[in-house]
Amino acid sequence: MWQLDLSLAGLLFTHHPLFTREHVLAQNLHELHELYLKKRQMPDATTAPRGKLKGLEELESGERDWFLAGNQLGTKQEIRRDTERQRRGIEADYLLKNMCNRWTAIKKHRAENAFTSTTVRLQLHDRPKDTGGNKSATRSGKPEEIFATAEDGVFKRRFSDHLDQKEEDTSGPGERLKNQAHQAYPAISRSDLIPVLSRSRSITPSLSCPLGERIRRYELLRRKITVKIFYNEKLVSFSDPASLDGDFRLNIQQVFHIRIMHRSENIMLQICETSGQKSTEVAKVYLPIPDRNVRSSCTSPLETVEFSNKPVVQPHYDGVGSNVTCILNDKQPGYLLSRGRLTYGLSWAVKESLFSTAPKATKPNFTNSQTCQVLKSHTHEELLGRLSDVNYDPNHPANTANQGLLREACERRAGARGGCFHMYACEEEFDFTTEEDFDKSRRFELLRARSGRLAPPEAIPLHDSQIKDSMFAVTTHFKKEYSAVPRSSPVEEEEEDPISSHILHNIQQTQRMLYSAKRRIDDIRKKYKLSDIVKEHHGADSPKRSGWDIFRGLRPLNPRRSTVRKLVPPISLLADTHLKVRVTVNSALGLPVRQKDPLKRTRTRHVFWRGLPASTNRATFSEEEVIPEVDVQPFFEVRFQGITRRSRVKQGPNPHWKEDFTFDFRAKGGDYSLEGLSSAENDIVINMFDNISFHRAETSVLKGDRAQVFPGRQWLGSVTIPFTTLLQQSTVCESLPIGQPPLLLGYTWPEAVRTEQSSLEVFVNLDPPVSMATEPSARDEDQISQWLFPSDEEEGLLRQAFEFERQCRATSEKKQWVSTTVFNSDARLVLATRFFGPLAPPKAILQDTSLNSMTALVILAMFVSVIPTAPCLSGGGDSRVMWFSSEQCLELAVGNHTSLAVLLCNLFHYQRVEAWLLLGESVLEKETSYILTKINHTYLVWNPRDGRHYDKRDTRCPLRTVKGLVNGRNVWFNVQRTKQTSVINFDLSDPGSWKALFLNGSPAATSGLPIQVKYRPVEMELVYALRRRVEVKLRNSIMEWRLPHITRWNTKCSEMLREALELLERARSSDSVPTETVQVLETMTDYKVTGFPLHLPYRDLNSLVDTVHNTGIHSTEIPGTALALAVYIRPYPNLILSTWVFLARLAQRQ
Amino acid sequence: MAELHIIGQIVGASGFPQSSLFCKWGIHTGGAWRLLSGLKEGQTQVDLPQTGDMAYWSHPIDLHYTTKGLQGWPKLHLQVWHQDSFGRCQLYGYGYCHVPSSPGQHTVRCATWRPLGSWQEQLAQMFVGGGPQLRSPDLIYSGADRYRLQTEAMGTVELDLGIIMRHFDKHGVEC
Repeated sequence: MWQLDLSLAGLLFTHHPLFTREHVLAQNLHELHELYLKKRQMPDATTAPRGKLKGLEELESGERDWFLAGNQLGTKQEIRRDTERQRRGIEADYLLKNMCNRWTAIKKHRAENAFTSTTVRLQLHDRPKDTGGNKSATRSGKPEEIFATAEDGVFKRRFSDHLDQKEEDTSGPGERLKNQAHQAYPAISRSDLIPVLSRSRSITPSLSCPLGERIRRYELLRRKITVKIFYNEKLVSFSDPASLDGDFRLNIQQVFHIRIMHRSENIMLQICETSGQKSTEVAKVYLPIPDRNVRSSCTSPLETVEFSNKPVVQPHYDGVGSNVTCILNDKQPGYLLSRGRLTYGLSWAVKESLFSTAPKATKPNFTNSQTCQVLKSHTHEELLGRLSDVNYDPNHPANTANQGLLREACERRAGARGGCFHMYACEEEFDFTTEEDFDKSRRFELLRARSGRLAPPEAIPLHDSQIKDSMFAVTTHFKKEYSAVPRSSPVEEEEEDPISSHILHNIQQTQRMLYSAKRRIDDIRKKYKLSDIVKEHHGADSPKRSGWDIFRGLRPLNPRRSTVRKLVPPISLLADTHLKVRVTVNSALGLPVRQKDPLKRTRTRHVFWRGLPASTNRATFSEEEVIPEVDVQPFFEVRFQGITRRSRVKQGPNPHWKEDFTFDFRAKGGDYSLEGLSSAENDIVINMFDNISFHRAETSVLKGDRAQVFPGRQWLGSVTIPFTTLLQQSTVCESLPIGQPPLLLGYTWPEAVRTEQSSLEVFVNLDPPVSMATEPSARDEDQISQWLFPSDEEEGLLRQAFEFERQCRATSEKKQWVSTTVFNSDARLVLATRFFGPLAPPKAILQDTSLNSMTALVILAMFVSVIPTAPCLSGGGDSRVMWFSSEQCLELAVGNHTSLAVLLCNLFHYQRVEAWLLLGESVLEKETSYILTKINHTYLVWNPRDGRHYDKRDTRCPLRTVKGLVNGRNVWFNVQRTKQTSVINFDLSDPGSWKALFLNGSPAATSGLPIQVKYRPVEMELVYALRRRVEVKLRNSIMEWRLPHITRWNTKCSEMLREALELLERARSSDSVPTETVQVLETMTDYKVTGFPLHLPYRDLNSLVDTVHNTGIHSTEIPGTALALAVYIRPYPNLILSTWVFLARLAQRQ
Repeated sequence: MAELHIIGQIVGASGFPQSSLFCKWGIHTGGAWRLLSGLKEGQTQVDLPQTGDMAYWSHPIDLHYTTKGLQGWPKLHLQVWHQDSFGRCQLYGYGYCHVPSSPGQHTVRCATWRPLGSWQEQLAQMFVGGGPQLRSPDLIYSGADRYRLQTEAMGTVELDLGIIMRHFDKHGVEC
């Protein structure tokens, strides 16, 4: 409920049909006077400018040459301004002249009619001249107002004088008049006269007027004027009818209070004229709604509106009429329309509380600045407050764009804050609960976890109270698995070690990166793979083939045999105890044997050296002479998922077991998905040991005779079969090389073998033969068009690469192909060649080797091999691999399988060696990558993971087949019939053997740009601290494992071993390993030393401890045994740490 | 805390000019709703009915929501597309319906419409297909102005929805 106060002050007609000629003239005079007053408001309107103008003009003409252009411009502007001012003065003079003309016309009219009907009266006042004139100088000090009544004769003469004077100014005639004027009114000029208009003339009474005038006045009195007030087109009120006075003026002086409920659209005043019963509408006046700040008070301003109407009223009686030709005295015809002015005041009423009762202002348009203001507010309350402030109408069509903008912004903000935004606060009133309750609810958390595959697919209790903590434990375990945080729980100590935490952080980051990229790729791939949805019926093609067979005259005798598909249950249907892993170890070949008495040999050598120090030939000769007796008692242990099985002990370096073990496969948490199956804990580890335990017969008085067994074992090496390999192939039937330490103290290889490489023949299979290797049909692979994946490559290149892959699949028998495009860590598709470019190795590692030398390459390979690899998330089923760039590898000091090879290849490129990334299959891995180098026409194959290199024809090389080669310039696919590494032809220019992606080397596809990597040096103090920690930790763990037995440590030997480790690290590039060992042995004359160094990249402490535990050094219980342990860490830049652990067992000689 | 299960299927569609159809669907809820499990959007297969006019998809819907208020009750919005023999897809209709708010089994028939182009576009549509589509599909279910939009009624999509509500009565909502 609001109130509007409308006060109507008065009404004045500036023309009315009942105007007489005199009225018209008087009105004209009024208007001229108003205009004059407006003009005169300019200060010093006429005379001052003229003098100034003259002075300026003189100045300009006289000093034009000396003025700078800028000043001149200023002067000109001033002149222009003054001219303008003078012009106004002249105009005022004309106005004055016109007014005088009108006044004379009025007077003439009055005289003619012999009555007056208007009260108008013009007087000309004189005022002192205070500017310019020399003659007025005497009077200027004492301004004196000459009051001249502008009565008839006087005025006329004076004014005509002035007029004359003006003429004289311009033309010069009328000398006499001029002098006269100067004498009579020395100080008067036109601009010194001030016209004063007053309404002081008395009107002739009606009785003495002629008839026409009398009737006109009577008519005027009869007419009543009413103002009707319409609010929103509804009549609200009207003023009291009143008649006009002689000057056509009406004083209303009424205040109307309008109480309103609806927002005002308009306020209209209708001015009506009633004469007798007849009422005519004069005009309609629409009033603007006042601002809500305009409140009624004593100072509320009065507004004036003009109105007019144009109905034709013929002149009657003495009135001139309206909208008809009216001839005034000066014979000028003119049309006059009735018009007038209304004075009113409109404002909002003020209540007792002094607050305006105005409605809130409506603003249909919500400007962008207001939007911005709203969006700037931070809290919901603030936002809502601002929204109500701007009085925002969301349904207004003009606000559609803003509404969308607001909603989007609010949603985004709500998303960022995790809450949800309500446009209207009242929505919250209806809420049952709050967001916090949602977050607190354990049932909901479990439900969400289950749907996100973070919790096992089990029923979830209905009420929070029934939910046990154990369920959350499973959830967190799942979370750990899926968020790819390393499973080894970090020990508290680890927080203190900056290097470990840094490396751990790097590895986690890498895994997270891999995981997220993989998720994205999987998401895309799932959408577009038809075989995920539809299993095609392959028999559909056969009728067509047989149909053609009819026309074939001779059928082949040997029928084409279709491969029998094994019935493979889907992985998702597996459950516990369904899956069994069978491991059969047949035999081992070329195991090292004990040096029966190494001491004897060294002693003899000593003798030789002392006798003939220079003769090395003799020394070797003598070595061969004293061949120690060969003996070894090998056995093995198979470990799978924490279960360890031990084989029988056999004799000799080439044992034959043929033992098989069956393990039940238990997926963690019942998760038989790809990720769950390929976790690293599922790997099968076969450890090879030498049994050195012996029996000792004891004779005791109390217990009688009995044999005491002193178990003892010496680790010889191990084989790790990743479970992913098994999943890919479902059977592994291979002769696998045994991963051996670089040095085995106390052991040697029989002379006959001389390969120093032992191998193990194993057969591992899964029952039922689960296979994850989806064999994508050609059609399916062709269907995945690469450009569905996000990529920065040109589409033409992608098309070319895709076509290349398709052709590769078509030509090769097993539908093999080389992936020309790979994913980078952002899950974007990149051409494989982009990853290559020369990369400078750290300066420290290649100090004293010449470029391009073989030793430099070996050192580089060693450097790359100590970069830890991130565990593969899921190996199986990936048709396309993800690579890290070499920068990422070195920055994070973590690599994955292929990216290490790429890194090594880039380092080789920098050494100006022809190198290719070799994609193929190795003994254990289905898909693997090696490096191929060509030095002086010899091809070498490098394994980037362990730094070893093999000749192309070397049978020990684990690489079996070669699929393709990649480097920065091109991609080649092997189209030779044989894929065997040893017989393959590496001449890439031969199109019969190699199919290249770019035939003439497309420049757009090559990268070859040097890769810049910043190597950060490592602080040696930290490395030393880490070494000490590792040593203490290993020592403590060994003592713990050995617990009830006492562990003796031989510190002297440990020192020796550490020295040996340093030598070993330095000597990694060469093959001259045994010399240092001899030195170690020489010093340890009282002990029989057996041991081995372990070399591995540093990932974290726990993996080191695990590796040491794996060797079983602690499980020797032979009395009189001492242990020795040494740790050495060689740091490379970027915290790449080459870690050595030497474990040795010292047996006292009898 | 109130929970809502929506279990059912998109049965099929009928009354469209051609009958090889597929449907994109999604569920839109207000901010007070949280999805606990299930997929809230999807796409059906293309069904080419051999007999009859109706295309059957039998696409399952299984959603579990929790809510803190009644505002923004789930709405199911649909887009029916036609795939011709060349594999080209053409929009045939938009539609939406509220998920029934009473527990039990419901058969919902959702009428669809499609934006109408200018007469030139309609002429072209007669011969080569295609036709205008909504720039933002939010318009299907949002209450924004559609006064400029001229549409043409298309067929109906049939849905079978089972509703299970839990704890709504605790908050004074009678089912």
